Amino acid sequence: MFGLKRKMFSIVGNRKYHNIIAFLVVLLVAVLSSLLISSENYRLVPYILLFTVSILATFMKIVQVLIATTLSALVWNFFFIPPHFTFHIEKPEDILLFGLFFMIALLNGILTIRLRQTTEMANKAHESDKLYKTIFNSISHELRIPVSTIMGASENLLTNDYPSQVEKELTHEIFTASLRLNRLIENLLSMSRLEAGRISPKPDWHDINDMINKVLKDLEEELHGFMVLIKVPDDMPPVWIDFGLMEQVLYNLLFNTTFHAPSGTLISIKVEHADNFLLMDITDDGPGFPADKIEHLFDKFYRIDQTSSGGLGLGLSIVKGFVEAHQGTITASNNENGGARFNIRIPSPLTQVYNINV
Amino acid sequence: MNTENTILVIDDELQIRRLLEITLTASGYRIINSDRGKAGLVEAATSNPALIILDLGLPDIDGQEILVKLREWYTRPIIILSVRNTEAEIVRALDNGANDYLSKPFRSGELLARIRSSIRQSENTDETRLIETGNLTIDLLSHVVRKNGELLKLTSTEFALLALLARNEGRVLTHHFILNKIWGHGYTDQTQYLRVFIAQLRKKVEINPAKPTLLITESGIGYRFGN
Repeated sequence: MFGLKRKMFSIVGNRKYHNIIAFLVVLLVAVLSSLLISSENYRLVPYILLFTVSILATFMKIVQVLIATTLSALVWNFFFIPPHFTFHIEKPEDILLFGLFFMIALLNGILTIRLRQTTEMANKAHESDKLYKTIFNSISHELRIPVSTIMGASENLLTNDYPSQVEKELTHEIFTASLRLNRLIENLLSMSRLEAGRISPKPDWHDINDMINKVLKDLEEELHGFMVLIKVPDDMPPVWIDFGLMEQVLYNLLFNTTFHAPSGTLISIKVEHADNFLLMDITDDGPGFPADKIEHLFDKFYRIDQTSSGGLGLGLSIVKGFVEAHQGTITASNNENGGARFNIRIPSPLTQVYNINV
Repeated sequence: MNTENTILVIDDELQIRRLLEITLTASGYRIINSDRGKAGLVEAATSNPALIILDLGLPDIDGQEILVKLREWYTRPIIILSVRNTEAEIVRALDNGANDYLSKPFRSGELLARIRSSIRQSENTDETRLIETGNLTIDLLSHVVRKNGELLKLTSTEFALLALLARNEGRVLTHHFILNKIWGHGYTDQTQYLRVFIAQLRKKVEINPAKPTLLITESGIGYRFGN
């Protein structure tokens, strides 16, 4: 029962069937009318057809409304207006009625569509306004926190004579805040490049170990207290990737883990090359994702914990954008043991130059 | 005037110049500043500094152009310090004769290390026969390489690659440059050769090939020999 209902909805929702639906609905209504209304009351039929067309206009496009209007006018004329089964109309008032019916049905249909479109546009504008406000609040929050830290800590350093230990701590806060600002700027720039469609990977042959080492070095401080296990086959061939983009992919994934998983979590990075694909499996034994949140993970400005501060929710959408720019795919899931798992597949041909001994 | 510890900074951002002045003076260097390209060129000619730190985005002349003009006569190290961080821009600067580059925002410790390494390298111009670094010795004349005193078996290409990088210790050599030197003019786009040979070489010379300390990758740019 539910299955059928869902199927019905999907057919009604699907634009490609709308022509057929318009056609069938009008014919069905006509058949029902011919069964229920006696032939001398044929002037009642156009009201029923008019009602049908109005209903169709609430969710269909102008083309379908036009088809339904024309068809109902013809059906009414052919089957109901005497003489029956001809397009000829005997009485002059029926000719007038026929013309009026056609015009009213058409006008009614068009007006209904207009009204619908205006409402939809207003809704959309309202939604984008809301999204804009959310983004704006989120960005100003993310900018203000590190800037406040820098202002506060440096002013303290300027106006007070602290013991050198305190000075060190304050300076460290300034440093951390500046790294956070820098990360934010990088992510905003990447996102705007992705949005503008200006990400075109420039792949070259790279040693995947180089990329992993670079990211681990950049995240040295954040990864402190985590265990990182790297598995790259000894005979791993060079891979055909854009180093900078893939570096940011791994960076964002690992940074996320350090942010969401507790210290002591084991992170494992497993890399392989198989069937002209670069495969990367990044897993951890941390808390994993809430099951109902997985499908939204890669959405722009989406954050699992909306209330806690930290991040714009851009990291994973950038990851997805960059992987897809490589014609690759990324999936997120939970491990059997509960930790998070990211699986990346990127097409990368096998180099012809391999294990040469000259 | 002793110019051996003088560094010329050509950068139009006052805050960056101040930061550099504080950091570098604290490390014993004497700083001369220029906030424009033309003034920088004049300053370089009059004071002949031991090293130049050059920004690429200057208001009057493009930094790459200044680099080319400087290289017509100035033979000491030039380090690029710029917000322009695309691989293409960096490779162009290195091809135009820059010894090294750092992109802004930069870490002071990293800058000081690059400065020391560049100056050391420029003072060390005579062809050394024997290069010793950590537990590796490279004899350039007899083509003998030893790790912890043990003889390493290198192919002739592997040796040529190692020797080229080691001779330019601390300096980034671009892919293009290395490929041209080792494989010749027709191979300058064949980065896969480099990846494969560097990986092979690392297995032989590095203590931990997965975490190289001698053959260091500058992603998208080239390689640097470190120690």
